[in-house]
Amino acid sequence: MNGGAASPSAPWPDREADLDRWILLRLEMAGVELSLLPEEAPEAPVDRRRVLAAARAFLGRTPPALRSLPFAESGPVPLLYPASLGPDPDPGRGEAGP
Amino acid sequence: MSLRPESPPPPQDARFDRRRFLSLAALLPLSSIPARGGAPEPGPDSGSPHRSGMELERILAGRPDPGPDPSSWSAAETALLVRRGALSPEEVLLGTLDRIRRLDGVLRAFNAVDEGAVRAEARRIGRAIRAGEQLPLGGVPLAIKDNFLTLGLRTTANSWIFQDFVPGADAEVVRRLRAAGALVAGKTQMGPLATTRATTPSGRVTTRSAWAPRDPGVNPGGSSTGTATAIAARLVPAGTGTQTGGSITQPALAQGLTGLKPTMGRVSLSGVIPLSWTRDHPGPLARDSVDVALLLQTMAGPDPSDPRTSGHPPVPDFLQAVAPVERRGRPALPWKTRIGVLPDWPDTPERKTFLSTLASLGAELVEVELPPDWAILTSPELNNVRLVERAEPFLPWLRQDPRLFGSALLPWIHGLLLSGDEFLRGQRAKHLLLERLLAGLFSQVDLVVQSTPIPFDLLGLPLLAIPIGSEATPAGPRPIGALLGGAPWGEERLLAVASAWQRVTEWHRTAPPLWEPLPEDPPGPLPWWTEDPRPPELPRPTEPTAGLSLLAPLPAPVVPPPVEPAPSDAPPPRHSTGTPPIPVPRIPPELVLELGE
Repeated sequence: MNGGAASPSAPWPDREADLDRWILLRLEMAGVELSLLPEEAPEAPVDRRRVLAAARAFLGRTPPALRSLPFAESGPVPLLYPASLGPDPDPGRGEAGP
Repeated sequence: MSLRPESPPPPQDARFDRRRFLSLAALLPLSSIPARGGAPEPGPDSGSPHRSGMELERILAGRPDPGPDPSSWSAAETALLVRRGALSPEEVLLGTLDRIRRLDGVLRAFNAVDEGAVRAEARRIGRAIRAGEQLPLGGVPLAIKDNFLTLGLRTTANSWIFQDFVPGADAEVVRRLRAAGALVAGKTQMGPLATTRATTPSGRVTTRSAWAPRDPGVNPGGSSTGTATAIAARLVPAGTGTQTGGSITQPALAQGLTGLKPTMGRVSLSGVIPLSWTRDHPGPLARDSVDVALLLQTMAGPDPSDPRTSGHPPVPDFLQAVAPVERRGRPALPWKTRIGVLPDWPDTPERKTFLSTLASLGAELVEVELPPDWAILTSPELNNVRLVERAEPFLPWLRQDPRLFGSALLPWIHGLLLSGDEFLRGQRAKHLLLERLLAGLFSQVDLVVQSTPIPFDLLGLPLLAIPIGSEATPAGPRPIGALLGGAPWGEERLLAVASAWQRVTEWHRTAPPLWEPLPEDPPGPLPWWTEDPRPPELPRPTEPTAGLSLLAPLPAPVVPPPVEPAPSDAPPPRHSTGTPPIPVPRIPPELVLELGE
């Protein structure tokens, strides 16, 4: 998403505007047209300004947190191969409970 | 009457195959098309309620006399007294409808109430009972959250998208409850599309707490707000809710109720407007654990329309779990139960009393440690991966016009911004957390007491809210509750603990302060669309049959006639206090991201 324009730690001129453009483009690709919302209307349930501000805040928190999740990508991938869930944490138990 | 001196069979959570639950949990994100083709058909296992072997008389043994006022009867007491002929189902229902008319103009618990249809159904149920038909919930009026499809009764999820939607079929849960003789008293208000406390689509607060009906600033909890308020205010004895992020347990805690989020897949989601494939759980709310068990007994079980319900152990006898047990002449738990106390559980006087009482009932209290990386794996950011699941099924309406979502729009937008690899990473993290919880915490204890629904919501583990006390505030008493989280299929044990606690305490019987309607109060119900209808400049939404693949193809929605308030049978007018009304708050869209689902 930073497109190689700058390293994460270096200042990014116009980052907010770039992020807004990315958000609008991403939504447009999904067929969602934010231009139907008013640009800025405090009395409306939502407006474009608030949607973009919240989306920027969301992107600033959630993807970085997901990147920092503590497991190795080289481990088993249970989701794609449900018949093989990786090592049984308690192979001796079988059908019985604790 | 003997009180079960013999030990009942071990509960399912002591016998479950942990690998099976892990495999079910891993498959869950792949089952993004849970229901396809044709109206929900009852399968061989879902044709009739899973009956309990327990007699209600035995379950209710030792309770105080419920008294002559049906509004104070529990669901179990109502079913028993109707069966005995104390009142007919229609007589019980007329009391419910009268209380809705008198009080719901202030409480705002209900949306649609079809008085003619439900009275006809009550008469039919009465004839069936007199003919000897065994109906476990015969004549019990229930509040149904407005995201459960109900045949012929508008189902809106408090959203402009569904404002005109009148389904042609019942959700599977509703079908089962009706088959058990329950009456759909009405559809209850909720957070729009199951976010937040109940509001209009623009975010204007509607449903009040039964503990502060004149103060909209007191949070009644959500999103199953209307159901909780209807029960707490004694409009009905029990009802249904759904939980994705606290939406059954939070309103239960806020209003002194008992509410259960079952194990994922224990109850069918077929015919429930979705919020999150891997997190949505239908469940019962009531005033006590016996009623929760009674409803769950009917609601639970496999449903071919919902593959999430496959592969689970058979439905156990939940009513047996709440039957009274004594040892050495004192109430006791039916099974040896280890209860974990998490380090972050606040040490208040009410909670100390709760734990010491559980210990006196036979529980072993165990201080436990949190699994590694708990803070990261239970963070709000990881929780956000659920937003992808809500965005996808609602794409037709997002594409049609995002304004249709009103103040609830933001999380749907966010769900479109996460990438596929981020979503998968989140699912792997959930799986890792579940593995650590099962291998660690639930190898040491059977239940945990905790202060939030995380991570039980995101992992599909059962969670129960029960009242444990009350605090005095300048504005009046407010309930205090506790959350108990269980292992997979731990509903029996959760209910058994709650039942034993409720046999030696009275918090579940504590009603909100009495109040009377004023002359200027409108009659109920007051549906949200009478106050905040879809703006005329918005397009008519795409019909749900085309939009939501989770719902079976249904007949085209019928635009219902305008809702006319029922004639008021209110008591003679009383003098107004002259107090100006408290301004109704509006929940800003940014807070939709933070509040319960």
